[in-house]
Amino acid sequence: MRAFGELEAAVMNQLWSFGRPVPVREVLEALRVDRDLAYTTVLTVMDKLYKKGWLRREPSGRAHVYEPVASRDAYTARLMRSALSTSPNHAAAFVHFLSELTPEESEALRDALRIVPPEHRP
Amino acid sequence: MTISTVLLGYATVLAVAGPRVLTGSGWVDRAPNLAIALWQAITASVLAAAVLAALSLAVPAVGAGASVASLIDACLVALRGHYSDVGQPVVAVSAFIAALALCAWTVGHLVHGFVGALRERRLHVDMLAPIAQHDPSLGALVVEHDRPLAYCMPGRVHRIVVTSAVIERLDSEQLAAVLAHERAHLSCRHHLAVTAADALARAFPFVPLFRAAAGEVAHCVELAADDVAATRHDRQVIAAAVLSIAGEPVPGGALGAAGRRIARRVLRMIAQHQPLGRIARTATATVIVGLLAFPGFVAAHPAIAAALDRHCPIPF
Repeated sequence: MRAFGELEAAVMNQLWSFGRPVPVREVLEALRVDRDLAYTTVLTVMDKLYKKGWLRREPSGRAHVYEPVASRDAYTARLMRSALSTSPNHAAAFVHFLSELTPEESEALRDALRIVPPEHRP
Repeated sequence: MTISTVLLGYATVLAVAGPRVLTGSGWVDRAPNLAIALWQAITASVLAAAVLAALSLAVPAVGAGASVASLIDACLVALRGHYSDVGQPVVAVSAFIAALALCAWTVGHLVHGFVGALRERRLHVDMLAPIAQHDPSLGALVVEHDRPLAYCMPGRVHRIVVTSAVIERLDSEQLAAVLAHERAHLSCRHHLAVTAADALARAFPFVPLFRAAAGEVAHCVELAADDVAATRHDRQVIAAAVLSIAGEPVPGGALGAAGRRIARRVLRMIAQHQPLGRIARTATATVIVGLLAFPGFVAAHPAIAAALDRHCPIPF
């Protein structure tokens, strides 16, 4: 089961761009620029995202307005954190950088880099 | 001394001494790929020795002993005598079950590790979809984020992910070096070695060897990727790139193992390339082969000796 299909990803991205609760129609108009889409298609996708817990919705007139539950930054931060995570579940999935130097260590290493004069660099 | 005692003793000594000899050893920096192979050989050797120790206790069990003997046309009594002083079938059967259990436990954890890693990666790729933009000029996915991160995702489709902070902070040379490093991880399939070592560490948490191996293998793949990047990029550039991304100081952060390793990587790139000499490489390769062969050789030795034993107390 995929977390986000291609269209779902596009919808999420669009909703983050809006930055406010929007009805399905506005999302449809925005996505139609690049794709051939029907209202019902977008409605289905947004309903699915709501059921998966990525969106919240409120009644507005006869329809709903939708908004992402987490901001794009919060979502990104959480995903990047999981990429860095060294818990057993994640340790082997990625190879990554870790940042755990103290300011002193970092400074010392930067100094070491500066000391090597350019002409002696291999 | 029975075969099983020899093998168990060997496994114990190797499990204890192996990490002590290897960890922090200078030559590792000069031949990280060889170091990875050596760690893998040690862990495989310890596991093989343990399994064979149990199996050799199981040989006296009626069925196993008879078929082995018929295979090599040896004297059954001599064969049993060579393998074990313990004659009770209960011990032999228990040992056989123990050998099977150990194999199943190990294989099970390895499979679980690989399948789990695959599933994690697939989920992560899906989750990236709403926030990652493919940049064709870099050949990587870019994610808007204020922390510098660069990582690769192995799999059927190779992907590299960098955050926008990386692109902002690194100049084009450094960025190219980082991408070369990540590509090296992908083309060398480092994730296989890391996943396997990690799975074994989780299978045997009470044996320090496996945890040490997992940590060291993970570090060595970084060194190996740095080396590959260094064939195309200036070592100083790589050092600066590593420092820019990984060397972000954490206020009040203690210098953990990870920090020390980053420092080691940067200093290693600053220094001249010092590959290990041919003699040392050959010696290490010999040790690796020896480690892999030794348990099998010890376990099979009595069978071979029995086959050569012309003195059979009971005529067939």
